[in-house]
Amino acid sequence: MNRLLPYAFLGFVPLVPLVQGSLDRDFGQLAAQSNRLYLQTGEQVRWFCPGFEGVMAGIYWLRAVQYYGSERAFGSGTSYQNLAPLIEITNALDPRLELAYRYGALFLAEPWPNGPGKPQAGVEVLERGIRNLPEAWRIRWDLGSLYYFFLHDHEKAAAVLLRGAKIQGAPFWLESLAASMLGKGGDRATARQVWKTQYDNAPEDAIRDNALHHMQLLDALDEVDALNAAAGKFAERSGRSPRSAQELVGSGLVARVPTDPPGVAFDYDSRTGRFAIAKISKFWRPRYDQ
Amino acid sequence: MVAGRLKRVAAVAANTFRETVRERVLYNLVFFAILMTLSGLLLGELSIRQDEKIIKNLGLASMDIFGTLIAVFIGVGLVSKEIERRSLYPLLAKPLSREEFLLGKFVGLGFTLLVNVGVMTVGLYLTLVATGRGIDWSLLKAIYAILLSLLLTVALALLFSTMTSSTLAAVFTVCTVVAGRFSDVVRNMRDVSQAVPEWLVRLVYLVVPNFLNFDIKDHVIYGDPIGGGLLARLTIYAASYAFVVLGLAMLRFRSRDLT
Repeated sequence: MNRLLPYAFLGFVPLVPLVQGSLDRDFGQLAAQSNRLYLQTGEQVRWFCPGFEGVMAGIYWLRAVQYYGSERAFGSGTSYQNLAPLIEITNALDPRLELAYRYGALFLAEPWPNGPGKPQAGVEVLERGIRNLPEAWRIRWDLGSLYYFFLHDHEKAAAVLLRGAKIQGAPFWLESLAASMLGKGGDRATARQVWKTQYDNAPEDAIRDNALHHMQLLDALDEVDALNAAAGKFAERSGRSPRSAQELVGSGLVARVPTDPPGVAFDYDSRTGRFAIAKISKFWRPRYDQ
Repeated sequence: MVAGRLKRVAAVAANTFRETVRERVLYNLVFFAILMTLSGLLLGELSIRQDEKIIKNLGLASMDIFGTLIAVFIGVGLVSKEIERRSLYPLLAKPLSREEFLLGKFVGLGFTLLVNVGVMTVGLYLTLVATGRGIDWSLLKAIYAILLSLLLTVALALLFSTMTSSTLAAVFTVCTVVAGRFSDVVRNMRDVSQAVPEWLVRLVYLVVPNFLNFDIKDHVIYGDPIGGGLLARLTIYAASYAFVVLGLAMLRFRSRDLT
């Protein structure tokens, strides 16, 4: 009897994954991580890990990336509350981790629902990065881009880029970007040029993907403008707005049923006769004037 | 005379090494191997191109943490266990002095740590190569500094183990190592409390072993120049401090009544 007892106990092994699976189904397997952040500053974390700041910075950076991703994918949209402290802790534990400033600022600046929509917090992260890594021209490039795209302050953006261009090793095109921003302000062609420059020069896939996303967004906005112009012409000719996108195609004013670059059809409001990026599209954001 | 002494120390050291291996101390390497494998597989996706830095950080921190745990918890048992098991008495009845016994224990555990760190180093380099990174020889500088700090920890553990029970010795050693990692806080104590006399701050700063000295992990990972002069001074600091601590341990062990 006693000899069999351990094996009887071991017989419970399959129950563990079975019950865990059932618990996961109840709690929601893809639920976002816990929102609790017990230590809020780098100094507090440092007290718990003297001599291990580097590895803790890595762990907090992983946590920041995972937190941002999980909030973006599964969060309620009201959260992202721990993003700024996670980035601050990473920066404090490893002031030389350049990517944490660059991505951290981008994460913070992204408008809701893709981010907390706090470009000013992103500016603070990048300025912290400039203080700690004054020779890192890419941080100034990002700061200029952030001023340009998220705060729509073209003069400040250009000034930051011009300062970045003076850093040894900075590429020549920072100056030309600054000139474009100063000359044309916030037009779409300049925006496309800035994103194209990022796409062509960023070594990180994630930054290139982000630039590609924004270039496609600009294409979609161009398409919407063209469709609205065609709908206006249709209204001039027939005295009413087209009833549907198909009717506009049938009139010969546009060649096909319009979609954004990934193939999601644009929304059309027959009452106003206006096209807009579809709310189900990955390009849709509440702040766009459509 | 000296050759005979060295032979006896080596015999105790070899025995200590065998004992630690028998106690499955090196099993921590399995955990390290799993950690490195998972890091290599997952970090590239999770960290946005920071995998190389994080793998290096994790590898070096693991050597430091596992090594410190081994140095403390095996170190404090080296002497007390021999006394508790009464295996020390027949040893000391042989032509083996208490000083040689202590030195042998120190060298034996030091060798265990060297093997442990050596295998971890190979594991770290294999992970880096497997993830498509080059071999960064400068990491060896940080690893060498870690090894020095581990040897100093062993010396402290031995000292405390000659003074008190193994539990208290472990507590004292951990406290000393942690205090040594806060040396900068000790040095800047007067920024927080002006009332503390400067001489006291200076004294505490010099007496507590400065384990921060040996933390050059981040410098090495970021490619800061770490010259031979710095490593030589670290070696001299660790050796001097360890000799003093071992000397105190020998004096205490010599005066201890083992009858």
